[in-house]
Amino acid sequence: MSGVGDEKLVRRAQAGSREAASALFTRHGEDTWRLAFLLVGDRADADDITQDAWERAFRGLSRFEGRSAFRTWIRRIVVNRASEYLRRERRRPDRVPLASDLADPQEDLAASAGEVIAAIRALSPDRRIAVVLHHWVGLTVADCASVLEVPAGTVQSRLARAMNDLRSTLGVTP
Amino acid sequence: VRDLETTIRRSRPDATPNRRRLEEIRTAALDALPSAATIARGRVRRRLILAVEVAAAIAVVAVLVVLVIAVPSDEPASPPTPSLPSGWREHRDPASGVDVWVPPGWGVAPTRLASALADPHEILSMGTGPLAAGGPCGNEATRAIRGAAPAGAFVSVQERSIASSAGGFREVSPALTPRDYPSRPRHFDLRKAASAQPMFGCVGSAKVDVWWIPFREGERAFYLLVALGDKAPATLRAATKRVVDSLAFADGRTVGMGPWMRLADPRWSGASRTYRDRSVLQVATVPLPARITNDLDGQQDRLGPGDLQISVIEFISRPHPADPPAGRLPVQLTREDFKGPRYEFQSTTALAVRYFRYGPDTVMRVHVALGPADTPGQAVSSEQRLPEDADRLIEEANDVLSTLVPAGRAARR
Repeated sequence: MSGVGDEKLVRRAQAGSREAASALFTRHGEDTWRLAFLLVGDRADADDITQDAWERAFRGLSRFEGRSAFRTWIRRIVVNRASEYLRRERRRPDRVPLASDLADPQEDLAASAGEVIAAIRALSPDRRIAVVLHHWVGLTVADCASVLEVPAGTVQSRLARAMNDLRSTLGVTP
Repeated sequence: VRDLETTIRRSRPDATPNRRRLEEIRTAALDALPSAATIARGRVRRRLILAVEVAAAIAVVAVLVVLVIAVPSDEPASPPTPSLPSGWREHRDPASGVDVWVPPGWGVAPTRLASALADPHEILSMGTGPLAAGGPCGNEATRAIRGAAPAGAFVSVQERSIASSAGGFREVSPALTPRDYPSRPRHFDLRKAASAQPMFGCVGSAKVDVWWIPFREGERAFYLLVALGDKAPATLRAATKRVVDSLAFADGRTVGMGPWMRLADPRWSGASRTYRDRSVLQVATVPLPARITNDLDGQQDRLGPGDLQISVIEFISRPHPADPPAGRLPVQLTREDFKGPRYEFQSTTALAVRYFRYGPDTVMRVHVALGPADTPGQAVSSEQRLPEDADRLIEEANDVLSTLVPAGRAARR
């Protein structure tokens, strides 16, 4: 199904075609995982968010009306799941690992995070998401607005505030 | 600003997903894809199940009525059961679903002794000696086993969790079920000890004989561990044999690799998963994916009318000012618990969240979700979203929750 467009694959998947749904996952699964990882910085949580997003996407595929591209839609779901995760993480008390041998800490973003990455992780969820989408994923402001379902001006103001925060955290003079 | 933007772009971490995990995610996601035929079949099946349940209930009531009328009143209602020996007492643990006879001079450990053991998990430990926790091998209560030397006894029962997802039982042995365990023998054979097994090397030079007996009873799979000092008198050996033969287990299946629950009703399914810093357990009246996720808040979509889902997350956490007030076990919910704040992720389900702290470092959150009402409507509060059969669903949830046992070291059994 490599030559078939997303739109046709979505229609077939909506009719119950697992093959078409699988093709959609083949096309976008890895990108969505990478987006989740960039947003939350932890491989296991990125796995969970990706799985949850795709389960939701397939379960609710009948509600997808094609007003945006499928890629934008699935990205939006990933961002929403990651956003809930980040907000929950901020409310969650500091935790101590139950068993340090269950995962390789070297694989996690936190373990190899440089100063900039750490500063981005310290941003509020909305600003962090804007920075990740725009600067790391490479979306335009308009595309960010489409994924986030907010006006482009809101994206711009989040990015501007994020840059102020980052300058302050990193000690960069304007 | 441009320099900073360039720095940010260059700092982008490069990561690729684990291929095997990605395939697992694909499978789980495809399983969530409904077909029109499935939806139609599901509706028909639910109606059929309801009709069969009603018919079965009527039949059961009719049979009971006939039996009550037919049985002469001067006959005993049940066959005679072996009586408790004089001076012994009965220990009952409804949460773990295990009963046992306790001889005089024996004690039952109030907490688990093998604290590092996640699956199988310890459901009972008792003996004559000091019931000390831990020891050189965290997976076994080696201090207590050593305490059986030279003339004492120690008995421990561990239960295998049958439904676990990534990182646990199924990942190690995907096909293993209770049927892979031998049936419980009529009497446990304590004649030939297994002290030479390498797994008990941690006992060191203590002179104890050790038995390690896997068995199944119903849908539950167990390991019985018995340790007897090599100078244990014959009377103690006989008492120990009587103790292990008195073990009685409630029906059901046990799920969970950290916290666990016992599911008596075959309609329920369960799955669990461990992370670096937390354990997740989920049980529901709908099929659960083989690989559950940590996102307890966002998994209500799979529920239909009349469905129930209980999610538990347990993690190590120091006390924090943001902690909500702690609760305690057993968790028992009322309609009031579903009047909490509205959650943005909620669509049509009613959700109750409870929070517990065990000792200084262990925290548990319990989420209970009720399937949506047939016609969700435009609800303005959680209370209005409660389905009509909410009271029955809450009662059923409470039955399952009464079997919840936390994994925390400080937790009571």
